[in-house]
Amino acid sequence: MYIFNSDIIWTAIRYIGQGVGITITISCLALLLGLVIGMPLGVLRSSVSTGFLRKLTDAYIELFRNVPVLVQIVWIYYVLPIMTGVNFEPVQAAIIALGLNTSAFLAEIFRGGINGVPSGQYEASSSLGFTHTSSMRYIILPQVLRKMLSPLVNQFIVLIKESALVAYIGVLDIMHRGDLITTEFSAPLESYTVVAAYYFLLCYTASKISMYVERKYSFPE
Amino acid sequence: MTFAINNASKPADMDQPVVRIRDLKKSFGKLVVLDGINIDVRRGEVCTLIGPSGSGKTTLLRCLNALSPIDSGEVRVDGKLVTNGLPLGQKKPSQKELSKIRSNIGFVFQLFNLFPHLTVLQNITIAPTKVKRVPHDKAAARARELLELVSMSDKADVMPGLLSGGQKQRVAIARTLAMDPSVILFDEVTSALDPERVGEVLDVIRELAKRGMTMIIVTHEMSFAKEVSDRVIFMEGGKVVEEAAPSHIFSSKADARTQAFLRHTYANS
Repeated sequence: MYIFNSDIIWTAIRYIGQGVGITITISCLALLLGLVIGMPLGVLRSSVSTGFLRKLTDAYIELFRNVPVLVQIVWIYYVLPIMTGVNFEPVQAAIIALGLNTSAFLAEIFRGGINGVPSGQYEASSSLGFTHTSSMRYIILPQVLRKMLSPLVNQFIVLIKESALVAYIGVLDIMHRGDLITTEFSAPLESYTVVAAYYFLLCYTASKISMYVERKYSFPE
Repeated sequence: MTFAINNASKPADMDQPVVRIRDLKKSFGKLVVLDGINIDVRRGEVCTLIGPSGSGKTTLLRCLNALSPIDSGEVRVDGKLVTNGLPLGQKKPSQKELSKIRSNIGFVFQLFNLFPHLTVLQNITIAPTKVKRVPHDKAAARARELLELVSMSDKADVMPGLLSGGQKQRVAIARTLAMDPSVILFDEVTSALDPERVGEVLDVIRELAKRGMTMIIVTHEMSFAKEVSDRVIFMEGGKVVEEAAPSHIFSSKADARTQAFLRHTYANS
């Protein structure tokens, strides 16, 4: 029976642990990019049903939802520079690719959230003199955001896990460091078990924080 | 209490109707819902709209603050044209114009439509502070006066989800009053309430009537309509059948159709 090599485990914990920061950075910045792009797209999709802008939004969302994330990462890192002449560092390419991909999913979450607000809320705010824009800002979106916390964190957890794919373009994240330890010591069991433990801890912590925040900001219906 | 209904301080143009509806028509597809409505409501007057379901009462209210666009005719509140753009020659108002018109016309909904993410006090202050740019302290002080008026002072910091239907409706009325509207439209505001909660909401409306608030009330509470109204308007099939003082409407001198409706209503109540 194979026995865990504790020396390698300690080395793996230390070396792979140094990739936690980059995994968190990439996931957080990609989520931020996803929110910045996804929110206006979601608002647009919930309030405009025709026109060029709507078609463009639909095309964007379908494109990013239906191409594998790994292909998007590789495409932005290897292909975009050929087309535009702009070179990205692996970390930049990773954030852009994961951010754009996440924005498509977040746009749908926003659209669902906005459509889920009862029409009476729009009518009440209109009758009080709110314009469409101010009603969105003060009445609708604050409700949507609170209700979205749970799907938003789910999306963040998906993002942390998908960020493992950036190892493919050489980013020294948790996964890539695991690969290197595996090759160096020929110890996949120790190495990938540590990798799994790190991802589990990150995602589990995120979900626990979200449950706390959700309780704090929820409102009785 | 220092509270005063805004109406009392408006210019003394008592002869000018606050609400003026002329030949208002509205259809949903082939179904004619409002068929040439003409109504004037004077300042300080309490008008109740009664009639069978589907007679167009709610649609009429919704047209009065442009929640529903009209097909033709004209609605004016305080002399200003209320429009969501459809009738001939009327251009669609900008969002800002529409917002200004609506902020002068209060609307109290059957299902309250309080904002669930805000406390009771915030529900009342949000429109004055964000729409009219009233300073927050001033808006909060006024909101507390209004909460006292509707007997909800002790619930200022409670979330609406924790209130009973009657309490929600009283807050909704306070929220509407906070905008100092020229007229308040009540759309069957007691229909969604438990019977024992109806009285507390009607009490608030009675109090507003005493204080001279101009109101148009759609209701199925006939005894309330009889008691509180200056004028009762009976509608059927999208038309005004009869409008008169309650003493006439609820008597044997009323139009035969009005009497038939009232007999039917009382028989079912």
